[in-house]
Amino acid sequence: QLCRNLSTFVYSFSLPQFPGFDDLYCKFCFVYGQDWVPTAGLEEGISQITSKSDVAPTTLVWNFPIDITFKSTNPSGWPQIVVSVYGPDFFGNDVVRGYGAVHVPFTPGRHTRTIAMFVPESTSRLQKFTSWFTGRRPEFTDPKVVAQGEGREVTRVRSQGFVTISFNVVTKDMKKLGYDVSPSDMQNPSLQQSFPHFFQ
Amino acid sequence: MAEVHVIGQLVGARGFPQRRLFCTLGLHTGGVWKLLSGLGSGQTQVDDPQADDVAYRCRPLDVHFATKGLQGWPKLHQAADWGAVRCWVTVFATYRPPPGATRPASPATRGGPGRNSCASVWCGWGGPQLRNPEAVATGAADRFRLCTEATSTVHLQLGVLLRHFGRYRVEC
Repeated sequence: QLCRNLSTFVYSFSLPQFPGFDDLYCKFCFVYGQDWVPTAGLEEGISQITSKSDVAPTTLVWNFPIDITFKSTNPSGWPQIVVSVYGPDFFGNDVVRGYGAVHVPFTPGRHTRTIAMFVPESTSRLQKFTSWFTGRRPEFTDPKVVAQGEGREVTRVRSQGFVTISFNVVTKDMKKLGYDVSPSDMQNPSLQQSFPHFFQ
Repeated sequence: MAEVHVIGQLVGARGFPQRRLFCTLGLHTGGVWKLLSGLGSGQTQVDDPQADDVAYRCRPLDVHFATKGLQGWPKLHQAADWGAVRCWVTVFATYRPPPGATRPASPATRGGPGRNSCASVWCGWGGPQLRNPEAVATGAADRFRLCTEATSTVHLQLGVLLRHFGRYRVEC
């Protein structure tokens, strides 16, 4: 009888870095394979609207806790968190400011992940103008598409801003089922120079 | 059989001369390896970065292999494509880190100035392109004919999960 309980406690403390944007809120949801079942906690949620302050003029802090437990018999389809950020544009319309996704870390412990956020772009100038004029920007009908490999090849996106999530992960019975997970977290110094946003 | 899960993300690439990039990707393994689930090939979105010169892909990778041997460990290749000029950029990130760790960055190469580079500059398209990326992945015998140059750095965030390697006394 193959049975494994894998508990993932995620406590999110988010610091988006969106240049020029203010009054943002975020939605999150989890995407996982068919062998995975969430046993406790909310798998979708929406945060408060946060704005810049004198204390933190460059970052927006949501401090939004997420607490969820999954169980599975197969690591395939390991859960990913999909984050989408929304905020008002110049005319006060609620528009999307970014989509992003990241896998929940494998190894037990505390992990910080920075996600690059992107929005889909209009393909023609006319569409770009009409969407600006009407306040209806291109959006994904289902944000979960950013956690999938298929169907992405026709999308054009513009990346803007980052969201930082910190995870606290606890796993259970991984070793018992033959999986070898060691809490090693390699950091490549040359990578830190190339991608400074991921190592703040 | 021992099992290997490779779960993670193609995060992005930096250092390309052009913006608006996408890339195609493919996994290559030896004969004793079997892909049980997950996509072995694909293509990413086209990104136009606003802040810096990093093109973000946000392309998840979740593959499950079963194997009878270590020979022919999975390799990943990426081929970048920009605008009209098609050039191949190949990355062979051989997954050999300890389980749970990541293999973050790999330098990429592309077909360098060869005999036809002049023609491709004048025509504005049809730069050197690898017809069969698999041949380079396997270290084919005619590799010495290739002429390449370094182009960019590709950032991958991959986790490797091994199962039953200890049962076959493989130390990892």
